[in-house]
Amino acid sequence: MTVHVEDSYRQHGPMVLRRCRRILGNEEEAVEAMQDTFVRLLEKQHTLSADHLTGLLYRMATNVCLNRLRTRRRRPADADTERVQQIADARLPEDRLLSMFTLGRLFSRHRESTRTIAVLHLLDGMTLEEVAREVGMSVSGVRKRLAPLRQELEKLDTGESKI
Amino acid sequence: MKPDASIPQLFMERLMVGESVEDIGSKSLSQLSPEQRDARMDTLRVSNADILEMYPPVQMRVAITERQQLRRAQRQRTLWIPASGVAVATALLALMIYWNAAMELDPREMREDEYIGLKSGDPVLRVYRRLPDGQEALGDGAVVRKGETLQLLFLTGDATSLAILSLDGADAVTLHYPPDEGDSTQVTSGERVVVPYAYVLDDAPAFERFFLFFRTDGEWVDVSTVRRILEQMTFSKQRVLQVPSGLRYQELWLRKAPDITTESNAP
Repeated sequence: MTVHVEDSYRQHGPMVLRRCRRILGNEEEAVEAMQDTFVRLLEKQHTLSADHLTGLLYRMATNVCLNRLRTRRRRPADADTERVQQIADARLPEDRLLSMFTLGRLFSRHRESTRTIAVLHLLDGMTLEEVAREVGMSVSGVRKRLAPLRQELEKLDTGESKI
Repeated sequence: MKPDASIPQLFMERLMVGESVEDIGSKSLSQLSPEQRDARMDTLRVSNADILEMYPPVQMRVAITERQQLRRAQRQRTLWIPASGVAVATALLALMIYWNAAMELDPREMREDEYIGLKSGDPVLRVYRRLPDGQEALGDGAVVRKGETLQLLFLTGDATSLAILSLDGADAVTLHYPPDEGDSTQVTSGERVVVPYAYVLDDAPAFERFFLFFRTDGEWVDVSTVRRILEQMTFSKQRVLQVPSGLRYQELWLRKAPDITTESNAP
């Protein structure tokens, strides 16, 4: 596949930016993440097929944004109570998930592909079957990847987990 | 009718670019009425127009291209030029590292004694030299030469985060894993990972020192921090790194054979 930047941006850029806005919640960061997503596409263009490019860019943008969330993590010197408050203040389940990403809780234990699966299912609301089709795995494989992550989220909800 | 707010955004985006409901294969999407579908797509059309007006394609093409060039430049080596005891970083273009696709590694090359001498569960760094008919594992002190291609592989052990960098005899520091400065250093314990890019040796003298920095405490290795640690080492004067608490490292030291061409041209 050969990527023409301007054409690809015109067709898919708005979608990528919407995705980055949703995850990052900050316009400047979202624009940078959108640009980084296209840079990644350019770097990998010769190994990619033009089929299902929308889904591919969507997942690429998701990963770029999750990596950015990680760099927002506070230094260890910051109080733990602030971290707890950040999660507690997030009312919607999907915002709690993003807060956990921000706090690095879900980075240290899970692969990039697992994080993508988590976001597609828990943030975007795709069914397990839809996620499986999107990432090219079996439903049981997706379920297996999500199980430990769900446990962490549940522990957080019940206060069992240490922040 | 299903409330359209519950439709995953990706499916609406795929509709926008012309994929059919059947191709997308989403049950929730297929349950939307045509009116609901059109309303969502109208919203996306307005959003598309707004975004393309705010961030015009020509401007974004320039910005993306500049970012790509910046990433390429960051992959090139930084040369420290010691001057009066103060090292000055200079963007180096004269020495290029050629990245090749990762070699196919034969798993039989993995020695069974890899964990001997290491604390149980520590990660393991392996460096292989490409040969005409395969590859050769290199141990500490092995001799390497300009132009040889090296491939790195690591076992994560109990590490939850790690980074691999090298320091050569010209005081240049190179990041090998993760592939890019901004990438996550998170790893899954108990895995075997082949570093995506092979590494062709240039004419830097004396040595190539490979460092695997890792943590097992749930914190992660920060690439910029470990890069700074290496950049503060001067040529052959420092053998032991000063690292923060919780950060550990392993090292593989390869000796550089003299470059015969250079030697023969020496005055």
